[in-house]
Amino acid sequence: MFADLNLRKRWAAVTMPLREQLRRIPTLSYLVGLFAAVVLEQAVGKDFAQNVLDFRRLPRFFGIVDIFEPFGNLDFSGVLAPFFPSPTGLTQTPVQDAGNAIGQLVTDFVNALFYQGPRDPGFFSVFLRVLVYDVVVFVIPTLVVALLVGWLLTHLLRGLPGWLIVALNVAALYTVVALWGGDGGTRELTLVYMGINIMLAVSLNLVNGYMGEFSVGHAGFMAVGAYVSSILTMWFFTDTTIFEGAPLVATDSGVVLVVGFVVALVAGGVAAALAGLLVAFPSFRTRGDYLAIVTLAVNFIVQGVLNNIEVVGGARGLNGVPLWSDLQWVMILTIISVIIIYNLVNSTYGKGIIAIREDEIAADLMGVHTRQVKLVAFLVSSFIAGMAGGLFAHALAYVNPGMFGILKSTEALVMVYLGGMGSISGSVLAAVIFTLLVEALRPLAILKWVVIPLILIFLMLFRPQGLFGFREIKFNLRGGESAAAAQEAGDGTA
Amino acid sequence: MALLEIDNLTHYFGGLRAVGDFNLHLEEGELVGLIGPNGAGKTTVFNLVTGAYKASEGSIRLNGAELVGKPPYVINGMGISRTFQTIRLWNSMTVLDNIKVAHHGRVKYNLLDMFLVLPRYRESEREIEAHAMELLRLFKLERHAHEPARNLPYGEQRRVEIVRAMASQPRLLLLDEPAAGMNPGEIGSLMEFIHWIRDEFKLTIWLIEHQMRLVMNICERIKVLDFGETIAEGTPAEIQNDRKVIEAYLGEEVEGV
Ligand SMILES: Nc1ncnc2c1ncn2[C@@H]1O[C@H](COP(=O)(O)OP(=O)(O)O)[C@@H](O)[C@H]1O
Ligand SMILES: [Mg+2]
Repeated sequence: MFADLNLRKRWAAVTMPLREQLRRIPTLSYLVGLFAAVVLEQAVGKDFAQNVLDFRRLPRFFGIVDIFEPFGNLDFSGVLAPFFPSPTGLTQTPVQDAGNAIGQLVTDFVNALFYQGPRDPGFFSVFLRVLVYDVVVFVIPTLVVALLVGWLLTHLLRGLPGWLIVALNVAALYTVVALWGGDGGTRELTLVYMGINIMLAVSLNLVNGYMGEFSVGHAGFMAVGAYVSSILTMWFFTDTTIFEGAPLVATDSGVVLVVGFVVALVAGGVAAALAGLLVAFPSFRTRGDYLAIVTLAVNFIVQGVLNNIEVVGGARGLNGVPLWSDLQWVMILTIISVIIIYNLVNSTYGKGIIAIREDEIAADLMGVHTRQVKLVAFLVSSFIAGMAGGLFAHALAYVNPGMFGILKSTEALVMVYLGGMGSISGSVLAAVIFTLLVEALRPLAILKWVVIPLILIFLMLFRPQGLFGFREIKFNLRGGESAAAAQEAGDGTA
Repeated sequence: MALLEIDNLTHYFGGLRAVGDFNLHLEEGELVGLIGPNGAGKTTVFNLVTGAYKASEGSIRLNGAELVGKPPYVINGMGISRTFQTIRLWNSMTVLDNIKVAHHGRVKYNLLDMFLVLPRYRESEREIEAHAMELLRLFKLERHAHEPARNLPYGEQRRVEIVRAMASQPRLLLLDEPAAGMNPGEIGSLMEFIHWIRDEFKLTIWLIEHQMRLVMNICERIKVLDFGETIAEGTPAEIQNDRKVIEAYLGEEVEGV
């Protein structure tokens, strides 16, 4: 016991200078480090994975997706199926059949953990090799390069204006993600969903976290944006039987297509913002549970209306939406959305939103035009949700009303509460984690929707404030003093 | 013309006549008190003047402009600000942010300026922050600027509320029981503080208070409410000897006398 404690202390003492160093280097060094790691992976990653670690292919998403794959063979249906069978399907009594199925399940589970055959390694084997892969290809190169360039960057960044440093970081992040994820395949698609999820989570956090309302119908706004933008792009740029056949604008001109997509997405956002009025106006008179019901109603109204308009395909929806949402589009719009929300809630005007949450009557009486502020919050929130919806439609190539139901709204809520109320960085992080989780648990098929809610329940029990409730992740943008130390010094002089 | 003119102000909560036929003219620079037993309707009068409630009958004019029917933020912008009987700071926000948000009427940028951090936005934000810090310095609260409001001791929170009320540069300041929860020593310094505010900012102050020592010492004129009706009006000396006032307060615990 004591020896263990000592070891931990020793380890802490030995690594202390290193950790201090890692804290002092600017954020940009890590991005440069990541960039190097990504280049390294492209150069030798596949060789290393296949020849040294005996993977069949490059680990997907840092191996997160591969880890759970061994469980994909588990057959849960056998447990309940004997109770609802065609009688001929039974070999023994239902109870005996179910018993056998459970026995099989346990055997399969143990095999999935350890070994399923030469082509099907078990969970532990995959896990260990993924760990080695990530540490060797990503963690070590990133940290080494970050430390190497840290000192230089600290000096280079000195004296640069804050906005330029932020811009440099954003540009570096963009480059790294584009380089790593722009494969036109699963990586890219997952990153596209991730960006869309970030937009959803951050925009919902504006209303639920910063303003303290409880919107449970965010997917409704997404639906409006998805449909409006899809209708526009299909009508103008594609052959479709729904909108008079031939495209209105038959062009291959890149510029026209880009402008067309921007206009379609913005139009989707504006339409979603108009739908946001359906919540904004009631919010002048009511709040809390009652407004939550209004948001739920709006979600259902949107779905109901779309289900019943034959021109847009009714319940079948629209097929043949152009596949235009690639990683670049999603990244740019995600970055813009995050910046918009960040600037809003950090302005004196936008802090009126937080004042409304804390004490609306006081806000009203101290000069905050509360109705206007609420209107702005709802419009901005639903506008971004609408744009996210537009990107979503153009990533899947189809839309239908069923995609934008209460389940989608709940996903947005899960991300907001996982990340923490009133925290932009929390929402971004939560959207990243959530997207990866959905991907990683894909082998579990329908069971995914047991595991994810369970995670939410545990979160509410043990960390109800979420990962970053009402706090932001602090980045050491300039380097030098560690962020924490700078914070303390700032408080001391204040 | 008086700064504030209230004529025949009456307010009903359902069948309850919370304020009846209230009249008051406040001259520029006056320091006037409003007293009365609990539930007399004092806070309701403040709520009517600041627009939290819309008066059932009567008229309230600031420099001749009618206030009844105007929303609170407009009335605040016209020059009336207030504090609350129970502290209503925005608790999780820092002290500085509390003061800054109360500058909402002075925001000089639109959404686009804000999203793109254009010069007009930065200029306006700088101006607001400078003014807020200046106020905090004047009131000797600058060392708390970056603390969440809820972390401050009770007395400091009361001061922050007054600073927040000053943010919109009011001509008329309404203080609802500023001495509530204070000990005699603190009340003494509060009296000096209120005088100082009036002189420093050339304000008109109208306050509600239960602490008779404070009211009698600093108010030039006092109005007494009971069950929504005005039962007396005059200088502190006149009020102290008024039979109706003594009766109204009889049986009720009169703090601080
Ligand atoms: N929002 C309200 N709705 C109904 N009755 C109210 C409301 N506000 C105050 N009252 C009633 O009006 C009367 C006056 O209240 P108030 O102005 O708070 O008294 P004071 O500030 O003099 O103690 C009380 O009887 C109180 O119960
Ligand atoms: Mg009162």
